[in-house]
Amino acid sequence: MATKTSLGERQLPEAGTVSGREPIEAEVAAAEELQLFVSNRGDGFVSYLSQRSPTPVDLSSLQARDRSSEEDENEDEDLCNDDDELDSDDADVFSGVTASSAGRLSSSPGSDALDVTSGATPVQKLSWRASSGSLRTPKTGSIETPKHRVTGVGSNASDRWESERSATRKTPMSPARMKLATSARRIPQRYSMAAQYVSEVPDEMYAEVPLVAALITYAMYAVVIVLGYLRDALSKILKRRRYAMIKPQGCAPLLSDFEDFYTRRLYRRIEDCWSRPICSAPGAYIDVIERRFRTPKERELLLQKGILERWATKPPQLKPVELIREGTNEVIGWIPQAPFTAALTYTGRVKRCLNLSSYNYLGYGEVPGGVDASVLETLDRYGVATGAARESGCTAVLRELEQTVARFVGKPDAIVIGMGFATNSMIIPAIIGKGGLIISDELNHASIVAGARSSGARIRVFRHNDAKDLERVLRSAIAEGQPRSHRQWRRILVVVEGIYSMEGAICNLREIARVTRKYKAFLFVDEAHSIGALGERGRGVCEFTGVDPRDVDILMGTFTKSFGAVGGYVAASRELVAHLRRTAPGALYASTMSPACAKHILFAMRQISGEDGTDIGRRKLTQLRENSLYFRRRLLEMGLQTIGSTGSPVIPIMLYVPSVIAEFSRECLKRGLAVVVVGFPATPLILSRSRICISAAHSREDLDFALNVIEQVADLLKIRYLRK
Amino acid sequence: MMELPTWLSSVLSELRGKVTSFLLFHVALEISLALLLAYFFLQKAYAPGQRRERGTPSRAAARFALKSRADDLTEEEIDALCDEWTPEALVPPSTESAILSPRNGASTEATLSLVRTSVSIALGSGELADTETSDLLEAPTVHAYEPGGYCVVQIGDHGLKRCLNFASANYLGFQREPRIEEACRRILLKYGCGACGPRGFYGTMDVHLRCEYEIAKFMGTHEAILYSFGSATSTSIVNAFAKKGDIIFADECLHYALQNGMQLSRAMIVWFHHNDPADLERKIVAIESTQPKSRSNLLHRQFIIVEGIYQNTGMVARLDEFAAVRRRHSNLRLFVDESHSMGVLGATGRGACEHFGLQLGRDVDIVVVDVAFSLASVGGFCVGAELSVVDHQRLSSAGYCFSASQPPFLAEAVSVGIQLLCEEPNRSERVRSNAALLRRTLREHLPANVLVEGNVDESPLIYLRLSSRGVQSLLARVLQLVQATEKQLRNRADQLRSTEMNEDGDADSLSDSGSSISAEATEELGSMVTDAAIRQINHASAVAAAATAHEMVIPGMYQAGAFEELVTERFWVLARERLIRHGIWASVPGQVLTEHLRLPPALVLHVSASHEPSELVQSGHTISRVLDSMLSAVKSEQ
Repeated sequence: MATKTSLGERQLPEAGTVSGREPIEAEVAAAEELQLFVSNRGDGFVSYLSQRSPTPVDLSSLQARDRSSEEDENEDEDLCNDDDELDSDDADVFSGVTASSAGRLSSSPGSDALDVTSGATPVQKLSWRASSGSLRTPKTGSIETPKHRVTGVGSNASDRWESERSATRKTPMSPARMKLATSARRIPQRYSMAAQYVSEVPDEMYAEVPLVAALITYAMYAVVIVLGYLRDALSKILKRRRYAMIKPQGCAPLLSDFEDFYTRRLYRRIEDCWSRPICSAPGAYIDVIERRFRTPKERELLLQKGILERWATKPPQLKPVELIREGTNEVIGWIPQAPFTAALTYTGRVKRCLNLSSYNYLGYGEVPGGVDASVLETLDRYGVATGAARESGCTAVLRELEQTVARFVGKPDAIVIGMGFATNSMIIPAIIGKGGLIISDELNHASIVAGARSSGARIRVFRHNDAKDLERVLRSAIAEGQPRSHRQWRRILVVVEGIYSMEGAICNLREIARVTRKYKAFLFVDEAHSIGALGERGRGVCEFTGVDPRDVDILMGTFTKSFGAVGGYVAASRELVAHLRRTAPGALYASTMSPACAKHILFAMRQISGEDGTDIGRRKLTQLRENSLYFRRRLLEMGLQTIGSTGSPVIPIMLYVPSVIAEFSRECLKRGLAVVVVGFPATPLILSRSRICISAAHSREDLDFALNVIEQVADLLKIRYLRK
Repeated sequence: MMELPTWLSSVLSELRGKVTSFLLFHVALEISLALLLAYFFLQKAYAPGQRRERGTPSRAAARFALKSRADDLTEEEIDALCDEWTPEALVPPSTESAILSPRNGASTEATLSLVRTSVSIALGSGELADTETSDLLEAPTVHAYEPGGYCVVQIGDHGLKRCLNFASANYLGFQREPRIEEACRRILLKYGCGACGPRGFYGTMDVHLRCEYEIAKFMGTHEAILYSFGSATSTSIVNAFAKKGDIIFADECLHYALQNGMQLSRAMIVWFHHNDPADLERKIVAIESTQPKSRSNLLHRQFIIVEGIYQNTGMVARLDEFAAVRRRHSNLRLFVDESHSMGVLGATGRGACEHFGLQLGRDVDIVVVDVAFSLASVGGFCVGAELSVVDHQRLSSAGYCFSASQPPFLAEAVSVGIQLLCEEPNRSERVRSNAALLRRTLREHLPANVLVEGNVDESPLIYLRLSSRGVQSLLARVLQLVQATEKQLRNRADQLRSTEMNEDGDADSLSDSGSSISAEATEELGSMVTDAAIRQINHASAVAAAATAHEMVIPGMYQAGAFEELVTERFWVLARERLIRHGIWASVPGQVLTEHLRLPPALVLHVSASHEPSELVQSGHTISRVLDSMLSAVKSEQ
């Protein structure tokens, strides 16, 4: 209290009367005060929502769970070792997994019904869709099929693990539910390698919103919005709006109303779940810098008269925050204080977390020894950047990279741009223009939308990953011609993605390519997430779905994800690439990629394709595949609703309720797990989710640790929607 | 049963009547409510979790389909239409053909090579003929950047050449600054190369925070936002603030990224003449007069968008006057792209705003910088006066939210660059004096037909363009050559046609005669028609096409101004190559075909602080000499 009053006295700035030094001193004092709060409060992430969390945390039960999960973990470790021994061939592992589930389900059909449930409930709520017209007919009744019963490997570790786990989970089951369980369509047995690399894409799972979750979500939004407007009205009366005051005289507000409202009243409440700073390479583990919300007292400071106005252009010089690793006194770096307008400030503590968030699919985000020596050599030779567009900034490394990329994806030539987003937004306009039509998947990335809109072509949308709907759109588009004039389209470009990053869905490329070819349209595949992450040799969705790259007119991809760098490429025929180099905005205006980045990509790409003579790349690919399959399977067994395709390293977990996404993220972080959560507006209002990105850098132990944490948090937040 | 008293019975009956009417009313109400409910239930309500049946169009689509033509057609008819439809090729026959829209693609190609070759000849190919005719459209390859503003360049398959680098914008000489490289090396070893995620999802590193802090401190704001790529920066920022219904007053020469942002924003765009505040004021007044004076006016944001130094012309914006216009009218915000002026203009290198004594907040509202030019990194940043400028972008700017964050070592390069600039402000002074020196030298020695563009001597971005007289004489000469060649070719074609008839179209002999004739043509035309043209015309039909091309295409080109553009571009590309042979590397930037205003092709020189004054004077002389020799070749032939 004393601090507050003294603060209030010091805080009264009288700019007009005093000689200009005083108010500055007052500001410094205020700034110090801010600092003081930082050092006084050290109890981690405090927020309003967590205080009024809808699911009260029962500490004792939590501890109990912790203990049990520790035991689980130990078991799992043992089993994993077994697994590793068996790991001589990928096929064995996958067939082992298959065998385990099949074996378990078929062990004794009558008496062991409850095992069937625990295995099959995950599927009850999921709608399965076959990729092509040749639908896999849902088999009802007995799940066992002889071909899935693999002998020998069947008795491996995961089998044991399964039986032990199911033994601990004995719940009585009503006949009705049993019927449901048996009639439910089952998870396709695609864990075998054969299934992995044949033509078909794994069926995509869609979200089935539980009614309760939907109701809670809508109610919650309603409450928050109503409260927000009330508070806005109040603050207008009391004239205490934080951002309203600084605006040029007589200008319209810079932000449109609802946008502003959404940020202030909805996003701010759970702001701490995003933009968490880290201070390490984005490898399997990251060092997360802890933050906390500013206290009301601190915010009160900023509302003092005149402070904001002056600080906007003359910010106070606050002393930097030292970063101290949790549990030690080791200082590992520093960061500047958060801007005084920010709602969050840094506590200075750094927590080591398992990283399930970075797009570090093949683990090139963190290379042993920092980066390859060749990257540093390139830095020595070229400096940091070229400072020019392609016409005068085309380095030999860039040319080499373009050739290598073309070879890697199986196209004659490629052009490389310095940023993934800009690759789409600044290349598509050169491919198609006025009089053309772009038919785009409804869930395509923002960069594709930006590129399509800048191209001047018409845009139509087809239903996510649905070749039939694409056909319908194509037929009607061709029949109708251009709007109003009914002239024929000059050309039609179908744009899809390899892996949809928010859905974890793998493109049904085979069907889409067939339909596209049938109607003489051109096909553009954005492999931002799939290149390097899919396919036995990492060549992306074409290899995964068994489509010849020559059947895809334009292959686009980025280096941010699997290659751990930055930038993007467009690979196509020699003529088209020459045309793009000469006319695409991305080639004419955008500065070229930093040569060091290009070298890093070359290094990664050579390793993945085995050109460097080692099998590191191959092992990484195998590891990623195993990890993705394992993690998804375990999540489903846990009763968490995951969506997307099996085999995709992007695994979304549906959370639905906005307060749950915040709590999920916070609780995971508390337990040393960094996950990404996504809500509106990145997803539809109701379909909030957490997105897990699996990496080859994760070991089985890492994944088990993560799964344990997720299980605890899932229990805490009651999000096992697949479990009645 | 006891008889009720009359008063009671009357009361009761009255009560009963009331109750009945009350009940009746309720029944009616409830029935209507039930009907309403039933109506709502029968509506196809949104049921969460229930996906529409595959293949059935959504309701909106169905409504659309009712009106569409496809609805009237039978499946067979649609099949037929689909079969009939033939798309244009994915790759247009040539770049220029997009402007020319020719009737015959092959003929355009042939004509283009013809024109290009003719330009080479007009300029007196001399000993350079062998490389000049090779593929000049492909950009030269850089093999190393060296300290002191040098680089090692290679054109085509020819040997490496060490050149003074005027092609990269390296204004402050940070491209090979050891301190920056050392810092980058440290960061590369600690953080690896990429950030592997967008800023929102654990892609924010302490390096980025430090960099944003340095920028904010340098620009005198409370907060700055860092982007991973320069051209995505301005596009996304314009798009994040300007919305449908807003008005943007834009300079007509703005660079592509800004134009693209404006196009994406769907705001109304009002162009004003290049760097002309008076014209801007006229346009503002005109807009104000059309709009009703009311409070609702304030719902529309209005922006003036200019650049500190225009990337497309090298002119320094008259920012003081733009700021004055902004002050005179209400509801205007000034948005300045300082990509080329930051670090160059102003006493301490803070850009055009400092140069003109303008203050962020008082005179200027949003400042955007692409760090590729002065700070020798890749990325961009934005600062703003209003507290919400940066904050808003963190959620609403596409290039920030949906893109992976900047690789940490590039962010570190920006931080260290800014620190260096603060420590050595004489760097910006040096680049200004260097620019002035080169401009003066060029102005003194360049042939009369080459103009040095720009309004301020200190601008380090120097555009050399041909004067209209220069262009005219070049065009006349090239046209003369094209006509001569074309005449020869037509004769050959006639001969060929007769042989074709005689020999009954034997394919082998045809192509033989074709090549022999084209070989003859080569001889006759001396070194005039070389590889590129011959490749197109060594077949009889192609020869014929090329012969008729003149009639069809050249006049069309002439009208469209495309011929002029083609010839001048070729001129500068050849100049670039000759300069490389003399140890000077300048750039000839291309242009996107769809741009609303096409500027004449030019040779661009970027002056750097690391250039030595003596080298600059020497380069100025060399450039003048080379261009003079090229232009005098045109003149002497005429």
